[in-house]
Amino acid sequence: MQIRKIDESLTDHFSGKSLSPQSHLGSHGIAALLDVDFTQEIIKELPAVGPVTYLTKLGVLLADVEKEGFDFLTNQQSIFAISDGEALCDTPKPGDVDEKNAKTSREMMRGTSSVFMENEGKGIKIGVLDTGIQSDHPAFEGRVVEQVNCVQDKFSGDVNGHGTHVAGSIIGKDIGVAQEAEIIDFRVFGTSPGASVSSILMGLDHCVTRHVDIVNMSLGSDFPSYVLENAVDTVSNQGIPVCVAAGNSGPDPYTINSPSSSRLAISVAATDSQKRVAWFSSRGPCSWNTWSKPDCAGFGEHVYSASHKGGYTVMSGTSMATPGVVGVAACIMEHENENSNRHGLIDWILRNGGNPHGQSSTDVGTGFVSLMDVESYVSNSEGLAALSRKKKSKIVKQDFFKKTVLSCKDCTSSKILHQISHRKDGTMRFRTSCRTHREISNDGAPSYEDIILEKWQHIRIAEQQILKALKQCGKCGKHGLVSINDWSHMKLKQGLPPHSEGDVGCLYCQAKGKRQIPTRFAELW
Amino acid sequence: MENADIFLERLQQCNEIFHNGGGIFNVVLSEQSPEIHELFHPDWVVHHFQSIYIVTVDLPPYGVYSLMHYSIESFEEERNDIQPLEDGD
Repeated sequence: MQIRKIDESLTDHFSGKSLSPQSHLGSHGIAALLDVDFTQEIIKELPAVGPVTYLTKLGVLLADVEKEGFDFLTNQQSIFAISDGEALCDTPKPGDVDEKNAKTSREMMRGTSSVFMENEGKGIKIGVLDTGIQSDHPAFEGRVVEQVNCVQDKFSGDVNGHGTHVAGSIIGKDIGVAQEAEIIDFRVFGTSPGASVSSILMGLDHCVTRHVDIVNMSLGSDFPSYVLENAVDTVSNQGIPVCVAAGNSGPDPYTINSPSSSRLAISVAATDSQKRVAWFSSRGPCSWNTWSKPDCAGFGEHVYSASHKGGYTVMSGTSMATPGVVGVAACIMEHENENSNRHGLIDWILRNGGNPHGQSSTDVGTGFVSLMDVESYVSNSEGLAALSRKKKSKIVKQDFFKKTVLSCKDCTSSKILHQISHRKDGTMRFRTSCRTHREISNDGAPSYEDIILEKWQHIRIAEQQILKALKQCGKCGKHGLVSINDWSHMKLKQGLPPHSEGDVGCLYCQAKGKRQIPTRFAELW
Repeated sequence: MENADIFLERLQQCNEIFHNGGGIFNVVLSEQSPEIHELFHPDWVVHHFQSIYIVTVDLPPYGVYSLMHYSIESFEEERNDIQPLEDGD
């Protein structure tokens, strides 16, 4: 296979055009995407400086190489692409945002709420896992009460300004939604780009041991980390709401980041000041999990908040939307301080109490969450009852899949599920046929019935239910289909999750057939 | 059958890690897992996050088969690609 792409910066570097004096004998970090069948050979023969890391799930090799190593990689047929491993993660500067039209999270997320007028998050402790916080910024008035370094370095303060901006939107005087709450700063980013999963795990562990009330995670990756998702769920299960930025990989569907994709995380999308979803905000559903994401939305485009250099600055991103929602949660938590189930109530309100302003749930979840939007839910019992009704209306009943997809309208036998495919508009197509009432066309092919399910419906059907239906044999009706050969990858339109095709055979009657399904089902098969 | 599949898959993963020379892994433990020293040699344990039942271990090649223990729910190789989510475009 031909090399598809090599970063130009690498070619420049190794040709001597941009050799920096700090480089170790001209060595440079690279990330190479390679054919998994040749991993061992490449790792063994690569002349690298220091250790070579291979990310098995991604098929990516990370190494420091000199010119010799770079030339070796470029000559390998099994390398598909080589990227600059040291320039993966530059945090963009906020200079190109529109300062004139910027607003604070406080303006957007509090509104003119009368119920929460007195509530500023007093007594609420928030854990912020980020790049660090410039705690002596006057906007914080000493309410960054502790700073914990989860990275093995000697740096103190804020690495690049991201964390200070996030903290400002939560507790900053005149800019934050909950300007009397307190923050514990867990710095999980070091001076090198990208945070490690273990530093974030350390931050989450500290959040539990320090009994924080809410966690803010304005971070993520396009690739799933099931360990990190598991940790977020564990913290949530201990009664601590964890608000996680949905990601900036929109506007295509299936772009939710990890760990925002974890089941119990409150995944936050971003909107502009008109409460319309921001173009960059990651859209649901998630391509590797079945539950509905994002959960809600906050103000995240052109947000005015604290700068780590002193003064104020403007930034955009789901990173900036998340602290606004955390601030809302802190105010509700203070308001409900005598409610023994206040953590559960807040989790429930954030997941169900938003106002979508006519937008899709895959864009904004249940909608924009401001104190104005949710005040009716805590001000009286009718509000909570209304919230409960709103939630119920979106629940898919357990037998929904059986009744809607697998039931034949003419007989009592269950239908065979031949194909499942995701569609560009977020819906899913289930291609079915009834064993008893199957019609055969002139060319001998059976006629199928296609059933289209809306996204809010299909993401609520359990994977195991679908998998079981896929294994039902069209000839004998038993659930005995097994995969005969390896699933082959199918080429689809951009933006769709990967699909696979494979031959299947029945253990009971030896019948053979084909299945075309999303790859995640092929992996579960 | 299902357990056998899981066992074989886990064994295959361990073989692959063994051939890659070990590495740093974040390991999810079940809540009922035994003491950490019964699972991993103390020298291999980088962090033990007790509140979230996760341990980070730096496994030498001969230590990777510790990951076969039944009380280990899942594991992943350590990675450094988590980003702050500020939009810069």
